[in-house]
Amino acid sequence: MTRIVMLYCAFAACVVVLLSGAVVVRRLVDGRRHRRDALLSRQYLHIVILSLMSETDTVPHFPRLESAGARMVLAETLARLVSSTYGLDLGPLRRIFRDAGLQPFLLRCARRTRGCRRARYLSLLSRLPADAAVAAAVERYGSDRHRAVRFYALMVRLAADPSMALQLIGAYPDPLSAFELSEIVSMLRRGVLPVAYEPLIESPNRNLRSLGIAIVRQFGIEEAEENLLRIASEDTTGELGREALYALCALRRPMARREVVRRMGLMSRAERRALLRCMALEGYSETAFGSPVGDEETPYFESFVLSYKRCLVC
Amino acid sequence: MLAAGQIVFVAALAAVVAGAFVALVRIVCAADKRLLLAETRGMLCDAPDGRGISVLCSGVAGVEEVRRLLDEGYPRYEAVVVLDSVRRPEAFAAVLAEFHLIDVNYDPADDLPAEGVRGLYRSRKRCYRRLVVVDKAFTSCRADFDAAVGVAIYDYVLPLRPGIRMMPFCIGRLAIELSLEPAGAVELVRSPVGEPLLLVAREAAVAAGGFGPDLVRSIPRSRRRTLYEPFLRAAKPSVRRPVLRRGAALLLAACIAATAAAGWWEVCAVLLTLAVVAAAAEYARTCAPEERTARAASRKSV
Repeated sequence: MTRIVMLYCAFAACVVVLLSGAVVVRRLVDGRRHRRDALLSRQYLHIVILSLMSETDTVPHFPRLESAGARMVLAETLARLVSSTYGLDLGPLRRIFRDAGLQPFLLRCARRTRGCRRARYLSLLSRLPADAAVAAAVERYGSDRHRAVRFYALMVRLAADPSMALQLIGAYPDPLSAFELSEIVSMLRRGVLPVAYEPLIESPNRNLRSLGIAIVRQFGIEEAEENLLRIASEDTTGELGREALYALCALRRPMARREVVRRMGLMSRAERRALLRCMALEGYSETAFGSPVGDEETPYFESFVLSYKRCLVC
Repeated sequence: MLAAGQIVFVAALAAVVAGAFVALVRIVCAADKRLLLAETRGMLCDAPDGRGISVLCSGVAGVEEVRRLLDEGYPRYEAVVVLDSVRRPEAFAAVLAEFHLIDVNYDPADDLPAEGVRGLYRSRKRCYRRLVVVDKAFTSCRADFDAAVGVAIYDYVLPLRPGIRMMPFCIGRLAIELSLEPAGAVELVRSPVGEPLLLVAREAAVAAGGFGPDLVRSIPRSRRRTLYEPFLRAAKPSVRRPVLRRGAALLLAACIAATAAAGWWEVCAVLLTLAVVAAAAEYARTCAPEERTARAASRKSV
């Protein structure tokens, strides 16, 4: 029976050797690749910016593009540039994107991977000036098991065909989380999605309504106050009512309204106190809402409001 | 050893190896997720659902450490620093002067009773509006954190012990993780990788009576999340640690060879299991890019 232990020792020794070898290889490869990628990224960014500033239609030459990992560096550089800017002329970028073969490259990478790695390739595609054919290529990822893959497939389709934004978001099967809403709104801020808030906030679809509330909050649209109050009074226990209250707070609208008071009364103690703290942070005074939520919460709210002040006269 | 005993022995060792591999896979998957989320900007500029994080710090070293705490881009973030003005008058005065702090009204919420608090300070300068300083007589880190929770305004609190620093993208990554789920679904986020992290919902900390030993147990399992990424690190990582690790690895290899040569297969099996766990941990370390950056930074500082 010592043989069982000896076999286990042989197995464990092989595992140790393999893991140790993997560590050594990874350290060597990662170190060199990290240095090379940093250098290439700076070079490619410089070339792209010069191309954007020049007025010719010629596609610039990117050195070492055929080497392993260089296309990925170029895709990341372009995506980072697009994410950080507004109103870029996409013509030169589209030419670079097509000439470097980035679309088939990223689709191939997405096909060969799973989970967060696949989602990352789709995320890059959504920020790059891909053509309309990419929407059909990523449609199959709409039913992927991984939520991030499903979401970034939606983002790719939104970027490829912004005119279908309402239909695509309305048909998205999962309720959009705050993170996903912020990603869509950032796409909107870059001018990619031409959507207005009114059809969204009045829509019966939960995702579209959420997006409408996020847009109202993000762009400070005070005219939507009545819409938000209506949502707060209609959605008495769900997320939408809560989001509407936070949007009203962010817009610094009066919180002593009947709809707000009623909705706050239906919240749990923890939720109510979280909203009160948010109101204190936004600068509401102690007299912001009288005593609608009971005398027990007023001292709690006042303690936070007063902590932003200093008594000059005792 | 009896045959059944040997089988149980090998099975136990194999279970340890399997556990190490499961942890390794989780760390590799977490590294992929972190890479995906590091490129997103929407959440970090916006904080759409209002969820914020208050970092509670006990025993900061001085002005530089406070400045480092404030060097966070996430909009809904504050640093609540607890300092003892009697025990460390110079550090307290330096922080007061540097960040233009004035004492404000201190009327704590009825959340957690805090003793020994002498005052609360906020900055007159808008650029330091995210700094809150609590002047409190030091008794223990736990008491400091409990006092800090009383003035923390955001929904989640992250206690930082003395000598622990946040790694880059710590707050942003945690905020993104919280925003992936509906409000109230997560009350505890922890990570065993690097220095242990414990991000707690403010209300959960208050309901548990503070940062006592029952805090984690009081939170339902369905509301706990475990991440396998490094978020915190020691302020002064030991320079000798890599040397010690290499020394330990060589010693382990020598022991394995010696026990195998001597025919002590059971001991050899235990040592080899340790070696598998160590090799898996070393591989996991290569997956964490911030670890690499932190190591490079510590080498430069030395």
